[in-house]
Amino acid sequence: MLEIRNLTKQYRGGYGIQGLNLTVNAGEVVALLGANGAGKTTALRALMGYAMADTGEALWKGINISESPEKVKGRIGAMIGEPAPYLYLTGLGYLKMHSSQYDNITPERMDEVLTLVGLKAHQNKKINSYSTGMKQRVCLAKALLHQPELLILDEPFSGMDIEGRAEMAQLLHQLVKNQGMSLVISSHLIHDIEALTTQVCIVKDGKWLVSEQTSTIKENYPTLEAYYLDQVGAKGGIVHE
Amino acid sequence: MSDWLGYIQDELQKQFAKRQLKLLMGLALLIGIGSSWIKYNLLQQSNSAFLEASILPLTTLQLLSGFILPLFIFALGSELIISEFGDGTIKNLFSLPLSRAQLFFGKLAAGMCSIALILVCVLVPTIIADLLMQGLPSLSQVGSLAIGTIGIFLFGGMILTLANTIAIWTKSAGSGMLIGVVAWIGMGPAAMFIQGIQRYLPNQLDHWYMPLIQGGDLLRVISPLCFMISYTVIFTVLGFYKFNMKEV
Repeated sequence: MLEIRNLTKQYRGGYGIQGLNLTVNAGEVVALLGANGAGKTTALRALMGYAMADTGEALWKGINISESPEKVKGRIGAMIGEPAPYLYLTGLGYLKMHSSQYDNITPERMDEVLTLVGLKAHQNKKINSYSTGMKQRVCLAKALLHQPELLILDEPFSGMDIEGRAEMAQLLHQLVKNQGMSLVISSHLIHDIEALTTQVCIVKDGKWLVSEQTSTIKENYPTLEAYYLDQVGAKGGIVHE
Repeated sequence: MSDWLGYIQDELQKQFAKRQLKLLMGLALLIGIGSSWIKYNLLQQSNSAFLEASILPLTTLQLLSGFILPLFIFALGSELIISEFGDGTIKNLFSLPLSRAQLFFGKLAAGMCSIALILVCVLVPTIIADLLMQGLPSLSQVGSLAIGTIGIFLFGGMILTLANTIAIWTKSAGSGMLIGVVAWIGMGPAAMFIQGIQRYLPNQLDHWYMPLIQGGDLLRVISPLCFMISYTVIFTVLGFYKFNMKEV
């Protein structure tokens, strides 16, 4: 479904991502792991066409996402970087605003996603009054509105308290298990996504390091964290069993 | 196409939700009511033939297009796209199933609709006032008003693209507004001191439609109209070029 070939995006300061290769099949959950500044967000931005890749391409069912967004973005949902909803709209108004771009978005569907992200009770409040976690969730609701086949999430747990993180992990679990959605998720909170992940891709210092099926990893390592630390050559740290 | 039209509608709704357009429309409405009140009072004091023959909506639009209307449109245009980059909300647009060209031109189309709404707010009270004071207008007056309104609308479009392009290139709505207004004001003295430059400046909109209104002289309007359209195209191309390269 999603194929990333040799995706490279470099900035003048030297940060970016170099030579990312990745294939995501239907129903797969790929965790993009790396330290802060490793290039995870850059990779996702280049993948979605928010930033122009220097070389390489990201293909959705054979169609280049950056070159033909009108053909593919109706099947992809994304939440990349800081949540940035329109603060002057209500939660419901924000979803309505985007509904015209997709087929068959009914008021019931909007109700459904708002309930799913736990914002039904706040749908008529201005987003301006939402907490960071609620803004994150309303952006997730927008990303889910058109029932995408692929969901791209960048640090979906950032800015969330413990309850929020648990709810988000639960929600993602539901989406993957019940709706068969594919997921590309970048996070440095490995434990929150460990149960979901089917494939792990590690980036370090802007370079694609390795990608591996989770089932293979679990044959050799007790946890994803142990695998990650081993791959990036980090020493020490607490390895959770 | 229907998706794109839906996007333009969404953009227009956003303009309303942001209150800036509501404010400008409110001001335009007040100006329309104010000019109607002024004409009514002048007619009460002197029944001059000049006043009776004047077309209030057109006169009001012409007076506004000297400075206030460009100022309104500079405010709209400089915020049109760059503000979405400033607060990060452009990600919402980049995640839509629309190409960058559709996003850019949809924004401009929504901006043009905003200009049309501002003009309507001036026209409605002044047309009603003229109908009440002087009865039904002649066909030539209707024609003059139509040509004048279209002229000012196209002129507004040019200013919108200019303000938008400056804002995108300078990465700031404030700079877009400031540079645009200063350049606009600077054209007046430039025209006075540099001989022959007047016809190349885009601030003289009445050069192209006044000959039509006054004497039906089609040939005299072609050259300034071409200039105005060329400026609009140049500003649009420059703006789109930069927008297409922008990242978030």
